[in-house]
Amino acid sequence: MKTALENLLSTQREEITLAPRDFLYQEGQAARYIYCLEEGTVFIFKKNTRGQNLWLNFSQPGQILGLIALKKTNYGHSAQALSPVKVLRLEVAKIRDLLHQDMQFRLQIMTELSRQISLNEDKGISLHNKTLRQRIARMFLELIRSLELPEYTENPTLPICCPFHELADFLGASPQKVDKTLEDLVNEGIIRKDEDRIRVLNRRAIEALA
Amino acid sequence: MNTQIKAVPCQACEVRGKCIFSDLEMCYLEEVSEAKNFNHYKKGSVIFHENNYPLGLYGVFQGKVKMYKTAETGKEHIIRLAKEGDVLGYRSLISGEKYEVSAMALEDCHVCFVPKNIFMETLRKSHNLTEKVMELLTSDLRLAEEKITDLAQKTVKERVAETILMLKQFYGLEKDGKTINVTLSREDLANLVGTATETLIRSLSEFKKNEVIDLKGKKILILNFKLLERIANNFD
Repeated sequence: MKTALENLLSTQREEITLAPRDFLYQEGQAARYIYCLEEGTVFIFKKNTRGQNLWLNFSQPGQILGLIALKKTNYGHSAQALSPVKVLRLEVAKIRDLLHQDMQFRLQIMTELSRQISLNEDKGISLHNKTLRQRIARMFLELIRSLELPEYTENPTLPICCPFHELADFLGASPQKVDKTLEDLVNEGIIRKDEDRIRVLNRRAIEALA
Repeated sequence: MNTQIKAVPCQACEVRGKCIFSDLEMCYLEEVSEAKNFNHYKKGSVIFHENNYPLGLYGVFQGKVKMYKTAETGKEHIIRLAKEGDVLGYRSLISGEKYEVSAMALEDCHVCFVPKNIFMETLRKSHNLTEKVMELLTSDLRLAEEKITDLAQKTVKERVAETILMLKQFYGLEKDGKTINVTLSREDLANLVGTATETLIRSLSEFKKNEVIDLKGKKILILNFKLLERIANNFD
């Protein structure tokens, strides 16, 4: 017998594909859908009061995005494709109905929300515990993991195709400091800057730093 | 605080209006009320420890509680504060995982305890409780995201001002209309702001010198609310 969730997915599934840099949703936009990420990596970021975009995390296949829509009217952050992305789009009203029908599903959603809260709380702690160098390494490492770059890839190229001042915003630091830290990592042979790409030359060093 | 306070049945509890059981259907409320325990915690007592499995849900009936994580360095980070009507440890209960934070009484507290099986069974049956828990989770998610943007972008001085405003909003003011109704050590306040105690003290002293706040022991008095808001940079 099909579960309520399987029924919903078989009748309501709407698959969407995104190219890199396309937005899945933007902060402040009316929250009407929840998304299940099937393929690719999504970059999650949030604007601060000064209009700078701050990196929150990278989402990986299997994760659910936009859960805030279950109770809030607007998305609290932006979600942008970093690589080619495939998502399942589900209407929030349908998910709300399902929450009341299916205890297992309810617990799954609540657990996912708890996980996302913990992730953000940990990130908050690392912001006052870790140096910029460590935070940059953490960002690169999470990116490598979220892109599912094979373990044997010793020197992954990261698709950081944004200008470096944008990278500084994402990390909550000044462009000068980020530039200086990247230069240090280049000089130590840990990364290489190739125009708009960063190549990790020593993944172990990045792991140790993060 | 009177440590002899007796447990009140949930049906007659005045604090319930502020807690996740506020809209709970009466039949389920009776079950929760019968199963709950009512405990007193002295100031500084740990209600639950990080990395332990949850046995039930804690609800603050009276008093103030801090929830904190201990970093690898041993430094404490206060994730959030709680007051009467707030529930503690509900996320670990739902996910079935260990507590990610510890909870400690900031003053003498009375706390209700609902055993895990009763809470989970009520959650399974009650539409209204589900709604409340979802509301709590989505609000906590939004708060956690907002805290990251603050921590990453605001200066320590701005964050100290913002934390003072948050404490006023959360715990209110005493009868004089100036004193924030919570007593926090400088170390706790620093752990809440996310800075070193010495840096916090410097900011507080500067605020005091500029007559934005006054300090009476561990109590903070707000003297110039508008200036404090401006320092917190809340209007950018």
